[in-house]
Amino acid sequence: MIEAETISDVALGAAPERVQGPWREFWHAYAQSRGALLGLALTVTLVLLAIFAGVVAPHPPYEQYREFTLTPPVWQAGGSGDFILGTDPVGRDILSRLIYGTRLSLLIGLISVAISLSLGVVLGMIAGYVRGWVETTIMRLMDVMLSLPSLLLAIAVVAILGPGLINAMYAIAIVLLPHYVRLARAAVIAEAGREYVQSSRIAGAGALRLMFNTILPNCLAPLIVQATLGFSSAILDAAALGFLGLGAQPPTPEWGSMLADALEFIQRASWVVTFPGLAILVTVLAFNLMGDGLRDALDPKLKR
Amino acid sequence: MQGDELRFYRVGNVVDAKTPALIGTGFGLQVGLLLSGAILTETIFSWPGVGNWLIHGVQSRDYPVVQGGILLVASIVISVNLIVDLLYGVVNPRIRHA
Repeated sequence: MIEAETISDVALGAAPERVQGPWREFWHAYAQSRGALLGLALTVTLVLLAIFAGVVAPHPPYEQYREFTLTPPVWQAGGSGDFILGTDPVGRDILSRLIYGTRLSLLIGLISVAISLSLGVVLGMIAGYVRGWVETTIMRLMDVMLSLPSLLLAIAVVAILGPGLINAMYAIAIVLLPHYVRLARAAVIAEAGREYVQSSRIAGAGALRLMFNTILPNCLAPLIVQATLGFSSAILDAAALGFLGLGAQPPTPEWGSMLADALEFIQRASWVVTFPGLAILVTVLAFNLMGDGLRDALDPKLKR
Repeated sequence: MQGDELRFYRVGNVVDAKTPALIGTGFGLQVGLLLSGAILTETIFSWPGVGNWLIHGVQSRDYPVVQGGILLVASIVISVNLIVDLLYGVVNPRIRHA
């Protein structure tokens, strides 16, 4: 009894200095980079804006104030305090539409990355674990998809499925797929010969358990990084599709379609085009900074 | 860099060392991005290029146009990448003689 107490006391006394949880260690590595912290802060802001769009936005996104068409932003001559970033050609408040657009863009990013990550991991795991003709079939198929530029492949898929926001999400998910498949396959091939996998196999683990319980947690790091970076390319591609009229359709406050709507006013009312463009830029930048920070923090090769 | 070290680096040496990377990232990977960018640029300025043609094809459900345009762009990307792979051998003897 007494001995047990002293041991636990010693353990407690020594603990705070040395023991670091994996999360703490990760945070320490992540916080090394200012850019990564900036990216995280921007991302959190954007997520909060998207969640609380209904509370934050000063106007409804579809409300047309017909007396205030093409009002300049508040700091320009003729600007009104009611419409901080000005209004578009039919008098809708640009700031409110941008805030609601955040919701759409993040949703597109989330859904398309979720689809392609889950599908890509499964396909890559199978390819890397089974090898043989299964691997050849899957990987050659992915090579075909990689031979098309990302936007063109998305356009091809939308051409088959028909224009629309949901189909654009599927298209982007398909475009992002080969990256995850290749990453997962490479990680599985690297890990499959390791001792812990062999010992697990000798202990009687089945193929599914080996793939998803034993190997997968050990190759998550590159997948997490790729998912974060995939988020930004998904948002960019969604905006490009919306701009071309193949993604979100006009009344929807999607950044790309807002750009396309206002294109003819670029000389007369530059704010209509500038702010959606800036919104895309900031969002993509935030996710890229965060992805780079995650890569630096999670990659054991780059660890100091 | 000090003067003594400097004399070992000439423009030619640096160019020799960096050309494979320049070709690889400069042409091979960028050509796809370039062509997707062309689709957007042609739409903005309504230039009569492949990209604009393709978008009109999608909007008017003209599937032969879409198929042909996509096949054309994919062929360009693949042939440029093939040429880049061959050029690697030309500029880098280690790959040529492997």
